[in-house]
Amino acid sequence: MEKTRSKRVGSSSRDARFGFFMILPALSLMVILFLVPFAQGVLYSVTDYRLDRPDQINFVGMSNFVKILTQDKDFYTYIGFTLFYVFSIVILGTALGFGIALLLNKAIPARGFFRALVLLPWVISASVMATNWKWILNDNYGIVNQALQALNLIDEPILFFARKTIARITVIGIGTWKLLPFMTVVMLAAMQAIPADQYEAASIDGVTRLQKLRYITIPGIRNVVMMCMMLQFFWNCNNFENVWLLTNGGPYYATMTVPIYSYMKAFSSSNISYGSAVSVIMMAVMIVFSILQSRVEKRLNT
Amino acid sequence: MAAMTTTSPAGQSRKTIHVGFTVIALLLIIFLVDLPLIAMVGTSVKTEETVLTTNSLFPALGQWSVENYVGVLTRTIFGRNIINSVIMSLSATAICVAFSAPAGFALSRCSGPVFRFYAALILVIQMFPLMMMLIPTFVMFSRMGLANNLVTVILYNAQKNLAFNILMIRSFFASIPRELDEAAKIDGAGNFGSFARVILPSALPGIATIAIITFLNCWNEYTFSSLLLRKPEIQTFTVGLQNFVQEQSANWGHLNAASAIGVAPAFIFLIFAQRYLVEGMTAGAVKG
Repeated sequence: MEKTRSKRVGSSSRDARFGFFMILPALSLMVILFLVPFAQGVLYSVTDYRLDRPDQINFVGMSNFVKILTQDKDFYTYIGFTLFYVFSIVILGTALGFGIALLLNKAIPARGFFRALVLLPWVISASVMATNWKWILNDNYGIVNQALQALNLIDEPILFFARKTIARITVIGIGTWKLLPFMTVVMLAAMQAIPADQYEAASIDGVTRLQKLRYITIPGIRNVVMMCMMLQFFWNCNNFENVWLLTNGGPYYATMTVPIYSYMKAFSSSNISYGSAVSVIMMAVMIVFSILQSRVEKRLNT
Repeated sequence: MAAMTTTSPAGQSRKTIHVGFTVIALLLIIFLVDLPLIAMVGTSVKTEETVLTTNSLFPALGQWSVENYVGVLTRTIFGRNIINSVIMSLSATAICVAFSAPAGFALSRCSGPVFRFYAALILVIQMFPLMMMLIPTFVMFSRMGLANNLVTVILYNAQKNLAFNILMIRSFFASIPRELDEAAKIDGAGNFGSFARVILPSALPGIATIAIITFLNCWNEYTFSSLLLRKPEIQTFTVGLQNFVQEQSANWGHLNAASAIGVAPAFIFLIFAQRYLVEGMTAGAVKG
């Protein structure tokens, strides 16, 4: 007994050494290129570091945060738009994705082919996405304006990126388009994981199609959908390029998101510390959201 | 009504009609969803003169042309950008897979505070704001004189995909029974030998999944590359494409041809490796 125990301890410590050796390359890359810069970013936020005078760094305490939270009224506008944008695209993407996933889940031929075509927007670069949309929404030559005019739905071309409200709707539409495939495919996978005999049993009991949807399909995919909505919420709150490439935050800052604001402060205004502080606040907001989310999740599951 | 699932001829034909409607609805939705990409391909194969003068989605049959593709690859630096993207994505993927496979294996086999902490770190790391680490990373690399260097972008992209890859590949390794490790060790292989010669080959589908997803992520990356790579001849295609948008905004033929070239790898993966892509997406969402 004693002997086997000591042997196990010995071998497990050797295993642990081996395991540590195995995680070492990945861990060091993450420390050097993620954790160190991350800590640096937090440090920058309590200094007055600027790109145009990099040799003068002074500790300024909380003054960047005080300035952002008390004097920077734009910041609240931008954080408001960011949350509005992200909630809109996540909810729209989930609703539309649910509909498409239901269609794909039916007994149709060549499901893989359809799924591949639905997936397309997900696998292309934001850089290509922005170029494509700028082309089809172009006011003079774009196919969308030409089609709408040919159908006599509009008299003049719509300036999709030039007016404040329309630009906001446009970036929300395109943001939805970009995450729609993800939601669709994940929901489809979750629907296909529901055992078929549940539906068969329900059919024998004479349950209607709508009831099957409500009592079998939706509960069956609920957890996966919640998880994906959360993931998409965080990803898109942090996403810089999707909106930046379409509008650069304009017109007149109408589509300014917090990551774009942070970027512009740091790199266009050379104010590294202010840009870092904006990101720190955004992270705090997201931590609050994730705590709220886990509370709600717990309450729903009990 | 729904209870009438008999296989009578009437029920059968109703089923066929139902499938027909579903397929038509799907085709319509897919047309709308893929319209930007359809328009991209259609415009790219028009001749340079007809890009702005015709408003059909595709050129008339017999008037298809590759001159936009030839133009963009011979008269601009875009070919170089594509080569840079290939070099960058392949190298970053190789590093990322080589680093994440051992780490994922260790996390699937070892227990203890170090590994628990590392597993938790990997989960949390994915929610950190990108901008938060982008600013200091930019400052760091610029000061070291490593801006305008593809190696920097390779290391950044390898790091960026590590956390997700480790999570993914760990679940693959976890599904491989530990008896296989033991059997290899009895045969005289060491810890690393049993991993490299026995475990790794049986996790090949998992390796393929993370490699494909990582390659696409690297290929599509824009933000960091645009910040670091300022010289056109060193830029990746996502950055080069945006220069086009600014410099030759009138030349939509070239722009669409360049975009189409940039979409090609993703397209190829969708055709030949859709299973792996979907597996990566769903596993990441459900287990991550």
